[in-house]
Amino acid sequence: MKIAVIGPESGIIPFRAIGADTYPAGEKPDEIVREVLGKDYGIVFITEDTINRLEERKIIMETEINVVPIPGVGGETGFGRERIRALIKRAVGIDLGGEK
Amino acid sequence: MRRQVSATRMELLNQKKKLGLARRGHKLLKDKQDELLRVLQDLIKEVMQMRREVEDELIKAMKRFVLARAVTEPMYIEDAFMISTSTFSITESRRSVMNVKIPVYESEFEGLLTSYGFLNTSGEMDLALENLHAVFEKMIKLAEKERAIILLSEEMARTRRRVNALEFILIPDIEEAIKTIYMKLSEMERGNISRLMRIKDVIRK
Repeated sequence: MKIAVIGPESGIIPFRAIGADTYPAGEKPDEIVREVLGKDYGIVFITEDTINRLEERKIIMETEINVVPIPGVGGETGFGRERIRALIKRAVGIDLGGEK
Repeated sequence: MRRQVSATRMELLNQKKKLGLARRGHKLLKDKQDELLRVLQDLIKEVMQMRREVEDELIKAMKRFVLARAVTEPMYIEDAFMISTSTFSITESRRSVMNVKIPVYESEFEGLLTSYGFLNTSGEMDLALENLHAVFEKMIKLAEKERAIILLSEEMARTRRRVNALEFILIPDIEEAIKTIYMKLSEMERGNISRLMRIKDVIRK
């Protein structure tokens, strides 16, 4: 299976060189994300700033494909860690991911 | 909620059997829940640390790349990456943890990392790419672990629901049924005894 990277054009170019498929998020990230998730990728990396621009974040939560947020060019916004925390909180009922 | 049960010895036995089963199931599920929690806790600790590492390294690699790009003509950059010959693919196999199938990725890299000419790009670029390649391997590992967390936490939620259903609904329900039957049966028994005593009295006179 192949790997896809979605993000701003300038930030994802090098991923093409190391062998991943890249999709520039462009003006309508929702459409791009939906399109990529419809394909047969093993892992889809999305930059955090693209995730923040999504109108419907649901689409990356409710998929069988492994979607992983990565920090964008502007640095990380903590969404990746926040996502895991929220998940665990819902499943366990306790906040397990807190900073210790 | 009280269920309608007929007050017979047969039913009492049945309910007792059901209660035993429910308690055993509850204990098993509770154990499963505890174990899941333990596994999850370890995983979370690992992932949180790993994520921080990967994020730092990725940002560093990206910065390197941006620097490398700054010293290269934009059109050569386009050229250099246009003709990438490398493919990075993964094969996914499954590992079972607590009967939850979590993915294990085997990464495969083919082709050349630097498939462009050396003339128009700087050595910085090669280094940046090598850097990124190393981070990418880690990113895949991170993806694997994060997926595991997601799947396990879903299983956890399911198990928790079942444990709660057994603990707070099914088991109290059966216990009440047993109590009701027991009381009705003993009431009937008492009624019977007093009737016999009364009959004995009548016969004796």
